[in-house]
Amino acid sequence: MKKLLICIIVLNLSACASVKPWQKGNLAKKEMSWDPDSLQRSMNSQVQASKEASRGGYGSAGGGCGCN
Amino acid sequence: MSTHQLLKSLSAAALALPAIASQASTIADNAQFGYRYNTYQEQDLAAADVHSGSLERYIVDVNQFSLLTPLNEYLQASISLQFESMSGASPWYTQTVEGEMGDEIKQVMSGASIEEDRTDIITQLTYFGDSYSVSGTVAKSTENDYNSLSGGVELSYDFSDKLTTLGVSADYSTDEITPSDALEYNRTPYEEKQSWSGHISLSRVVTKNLIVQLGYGLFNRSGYLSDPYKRVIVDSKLIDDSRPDSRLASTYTGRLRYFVEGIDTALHFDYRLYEDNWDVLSHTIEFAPYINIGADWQIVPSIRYYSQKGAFFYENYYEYVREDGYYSTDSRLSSYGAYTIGAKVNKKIGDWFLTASYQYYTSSHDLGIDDYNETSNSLVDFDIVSIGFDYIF
Repeated sequence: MKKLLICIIVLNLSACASVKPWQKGNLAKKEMSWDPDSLQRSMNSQVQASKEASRGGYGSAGGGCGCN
Repeated sequence: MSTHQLLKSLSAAALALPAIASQASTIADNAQFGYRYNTYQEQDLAAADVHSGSLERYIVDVNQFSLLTPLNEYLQASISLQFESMSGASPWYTQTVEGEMGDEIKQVMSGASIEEDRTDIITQLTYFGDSYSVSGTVAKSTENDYNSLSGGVELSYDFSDKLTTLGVSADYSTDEITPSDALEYNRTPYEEKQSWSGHISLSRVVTKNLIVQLGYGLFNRSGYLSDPYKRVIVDSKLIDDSRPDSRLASTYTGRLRYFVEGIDTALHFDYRLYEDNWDVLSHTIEFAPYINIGADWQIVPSIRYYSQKGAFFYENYYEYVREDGYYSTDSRLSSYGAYTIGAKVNKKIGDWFLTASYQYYTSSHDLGIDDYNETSNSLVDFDIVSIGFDYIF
């Protein structure tokens, strides 16, 4: 929890400049989204979770599979 | 036009832009359909590392479909379907054989006769308010030996500054495991597993070209967490893979998207720290520049580095009986590191968006940054080839 609080403080300190709505054109581009290709993200997450001992971190962990 | 009117009209135009990444996503204007065909292939194991069984490992063909559509001004529905067809062989257990340098640990593989299908369906309904969105998700995964049913909720909330977004999600899953050929191989016939997870994230627009996100997640699994198809030699007896029946994990993530105007490129940087009470600790770093070439082409080289410290009970071969009774020689629980390198090409033609990509994954004990336990001889290398398209109606 301490790590999370530090993260939130750092994140808020980082907002040093105000960005107006009409300046968000680049932020609105598809390639600037967290996951521009949700199908590929889904495929990669499943493969990585079934071949590595770690999983999750980017939202809900979801259900499992018997993937070996 | 006065300065005030100009600013007002610019603001209105900006607010009409498609979903701003930092904010609670906006409802789609049109229905969208997506399809991907992926072929996943693992490399054969080295003959020198295998005592018996097949050297071949898995080949999986995966067809993915997605449909997203607005239902009215406030509601959006989406459905994703995934069909997998898998064949190949899997590591079974390890044993020692006498070699020139003394006893050597070798992998015993299953025969290359495993064939399996999997169907996965995910449905989601999202309600969009003025400064928030709420989603409900139901998912079901079906295999001949594994069934999973899960449900989740997700909230995304924009703060009044319109620069900060809070994301909160939670889900629950119940899984049933019914191993194949249970009688023939003396496997457990039926087991259950329950999982829940919670995640919180905060996204912040820092400049007109930079957005960052920090996240924290908790993930708990309980019930049967062993692998029914793996076995272990302990004290000259072949016994079942046996792992603790609960596992609590935490994740800490940082993500950054930075747009470089001079080269029309979006830089993606993701980092994840994972730790759990099996003593697994991992670092994952991903970097990908999305390079636009003209108005319609995009290329995306990518690199991912992963390193994990193995589980406290993992060994490549057990010389001694453990007091806690936990045993697994599953290479996925060992200490190792891995690289993934990839390349993707995207092409836009009107309402069509075509995509093709290649990824290569290689793993070894030497690539890891932790030397916690001995190397496994069944770590996997694989590649994934994907092609597909999205269409906006």
